[in-house]
Amino acid sequence: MRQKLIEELCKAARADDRIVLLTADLGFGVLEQFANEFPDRYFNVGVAEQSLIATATGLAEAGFVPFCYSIATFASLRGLEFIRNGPVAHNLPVRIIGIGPGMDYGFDGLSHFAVDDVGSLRCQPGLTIWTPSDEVDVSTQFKSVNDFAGPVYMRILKNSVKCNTHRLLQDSGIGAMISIISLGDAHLIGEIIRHRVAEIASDISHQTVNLLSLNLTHVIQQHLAKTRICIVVENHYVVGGLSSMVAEVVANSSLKVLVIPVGVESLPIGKLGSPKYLSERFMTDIDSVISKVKSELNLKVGSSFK
Amino acid sequence: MCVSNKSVSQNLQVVAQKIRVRVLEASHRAHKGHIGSALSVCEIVAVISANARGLGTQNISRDRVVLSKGHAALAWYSALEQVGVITTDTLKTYMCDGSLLGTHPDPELEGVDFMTGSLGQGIGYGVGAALAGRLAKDERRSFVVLSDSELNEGSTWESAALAGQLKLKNLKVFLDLNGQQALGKTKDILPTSAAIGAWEMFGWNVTRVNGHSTSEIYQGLETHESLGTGPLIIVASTIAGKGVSFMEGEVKWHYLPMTEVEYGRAVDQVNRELETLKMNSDLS
Repeated sequence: MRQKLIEELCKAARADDRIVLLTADLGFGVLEQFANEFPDRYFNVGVAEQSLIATATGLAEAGFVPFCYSIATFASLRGLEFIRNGPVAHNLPVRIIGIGPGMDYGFDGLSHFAVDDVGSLRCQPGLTIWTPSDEVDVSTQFKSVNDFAGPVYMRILKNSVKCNTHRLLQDSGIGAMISIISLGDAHLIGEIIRHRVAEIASDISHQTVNLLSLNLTHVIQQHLAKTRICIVVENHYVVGGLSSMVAEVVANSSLKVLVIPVGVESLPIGKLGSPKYLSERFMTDIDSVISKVKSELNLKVGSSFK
Repeated sequence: MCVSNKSVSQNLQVVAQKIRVRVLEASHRAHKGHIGSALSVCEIVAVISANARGLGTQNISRDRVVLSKGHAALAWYSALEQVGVITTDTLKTYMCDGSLLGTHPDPELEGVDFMTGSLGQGIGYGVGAALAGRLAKDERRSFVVLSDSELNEGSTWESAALAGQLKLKNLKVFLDLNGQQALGKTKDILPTSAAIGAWEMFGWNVTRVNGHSTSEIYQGLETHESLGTGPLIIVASTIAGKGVSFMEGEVKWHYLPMTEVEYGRAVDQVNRELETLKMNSDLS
């Protein structure tokens, strides 16, 4: 995914000499293409994420479009106040590339797990979080995302996901009785849940959110108009991210929807492993999700609602 | 040429003192503190406002000014008034409801390029602005006013190292070395003596000046224009509360507003000095 992103960035940079790439000393094997092709527009600011964002702010104020590259936790959290007071406060087109949503970095541990980046950023007015689910999203959405006048946080899976089959939430009108909403990078987990829910109920939709901003709330509200159960799936703590956003929308409306969050439920420390292992260890247990769905549908164990 | 430069710097000394008067007037009117910090940088902001090309315009190639020590905003507003970027009436809205003139700068105000107020951030904006000038291949410069308390912030050093590495000659930082911060003397909190030497090690051109002499500050800039090889830091030795004898070097004037009696004493002293400076300027 990150390779694809940099390919798209190079394409854009060929046509737009305002584009500049800054890295906080990360991107080995990823950024060389840009660095070689645009050596005058590539800067390694060192392991200095505050400087990364502040320098980008100064560049963007002067009309450039700086991309800031780092691992998601460092890009979003280390310079959070700089993001708030810089690109957000000045509404500047700084693009922050955060690699490795959720527990994507597996054995690297909590210091590298972006499980609270969305929660920290989504309340910032004018900032858009872009979280493509596959390389098709990266290719088809990059240009429009880069046209945003304000800041964008790009939450990018480390490894390649060639192509998922899904529809965008924005394309959907009224949802099904059971609606699964996944943050883009959690689409595959959402698909697993959809298959499990399909064993006990029909009329399920699975939508993926690629663009998350405060503007999304009315879309979610429309989407949930006929929904009874909404399962929200994200590579993030169950607090603060997309689940919280959906719950806020429901609480601030007349919707009667049970929101079931699926995400990281506890501090992911004490066990290391592959992202798959860590998901099973720290993310919401899918059996418990199915139990909640059954309970809401008043189904007895072993029966279905079809 | 020498006579002309002398005349310019004497005029700037007068301008700086006028800024000092405005700082006291506005602080008194608003019953607001941060006086000592503002009085500390009057000469620095007088020199910057007189030299910043395109100040108050939206010209993309204009010099950028970052008041990294945002809590000295009142001095910058007063400087903007002196060079005609904002009106006296606008300056009088300081700390009024609905005003653009608060305790820290708002980029909606003409002559303010960046919002500051959180220490250690502005210098990074200045680095980006200077880098933008290099990429745009134009003559723009980036002026940053840094407080010595910002030397406590790690982010200051991230930016210092980067600017040195990039040899950003168009970056000009004015370090307001008044030796004070919010709760005491810098030497008692986090000493700055080692920090000053570090700039040179990072590849900066370091110039030490009397921060209350506009001619020394101006000369520091001029010399760097012709001889500089990297970013410039003018280490300006200053006195917090400069010009008001009972405020000078007193930590409490970082926060305290003035009583009526204190204001009367302060403004009288500063006005008397202003008259002296004007007389000297006229004689030259």
